[in-house]
Amino acid sequence: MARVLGNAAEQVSQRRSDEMIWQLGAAGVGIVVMTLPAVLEITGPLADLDWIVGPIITAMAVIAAAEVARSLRWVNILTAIVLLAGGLLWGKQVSSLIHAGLAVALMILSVPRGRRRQSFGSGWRGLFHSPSSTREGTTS
Amino acid sequence: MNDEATPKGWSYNPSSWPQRLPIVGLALIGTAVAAYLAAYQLRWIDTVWEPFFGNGSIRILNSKVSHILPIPDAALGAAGYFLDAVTGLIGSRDRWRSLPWMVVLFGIAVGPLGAISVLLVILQPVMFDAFCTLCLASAVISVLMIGPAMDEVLASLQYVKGEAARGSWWRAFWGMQQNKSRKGALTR
Repeated sequence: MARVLGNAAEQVSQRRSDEMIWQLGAAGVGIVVMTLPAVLEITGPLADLDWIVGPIITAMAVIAAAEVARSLRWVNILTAIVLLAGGLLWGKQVSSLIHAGLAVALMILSVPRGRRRQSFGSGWRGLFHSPSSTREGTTS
Repeated sequence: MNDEATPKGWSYNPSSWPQRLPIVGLALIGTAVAAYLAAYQLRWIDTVWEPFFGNGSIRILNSKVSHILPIPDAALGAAGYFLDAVTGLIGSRDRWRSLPWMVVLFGIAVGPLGAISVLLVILQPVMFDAFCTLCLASAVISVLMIGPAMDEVLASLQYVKGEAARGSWWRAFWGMQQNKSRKGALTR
């Protein structure tokens, strides 16, 4: 019985969430970042940074949840660096630690691509490469 | 899965109705939310629903930024969402090749609308120290639409690029050579 349930759960997760679960986690990090100024009573530049970076993190993660836009997840490596730097620069002990933790979590969540389920022809990259007939003489 | 309207090299057809209708549905919800907020900004109604942030909605919706243009920003948002819905609906289930310009217009309507929403979400706390629940909801809706809309735009751009190599991308973009290009339209 447990095995049947386990298999079913596995199938469901493979079908629906497996490919985007990382991005949903990253989107959650963005929402948490948005609430940090209120929760930790942060003011000044670090609060502004949280309010700016949080929505960007969530937006990028939500867009990257679509398989066709999955590459956008790399943007959140940059936002994670900004988050880390801001926390170290302006944070007090606890808040800089929390910022660092969230930044590391975001980086970890932004690396895995997730399972490749669909194919998109030549993809976005194909738009910037010459078609095969004229490929000679171009760098690709 | 393997139907004739699926772009070459693709595992599914991004212009099929199951792909498009959920985006249209989101756009219509967004239209309703934005229209409600615009109705408050235009004083057609006196109050606005705000369950979480006290007078946050009132402060945001009456702020200088929201009235930077001749019409209130939510009215512009409602128009944008409606454009999303309309451009999402027009065209048959192979419109990625029969109506590329419509797909691109759809992408242009969906993408920047989402970007502006995110910008407005940032401005709420940074400039006014307040949040507005329905404004946030509207932003969430507009961002949710972006990812699912992009596959169709990609298919159209691939198609137009493939046609450019074998003739006129201009005619392809305006959907004027679909009979010729039914087969082998895409470079792999």
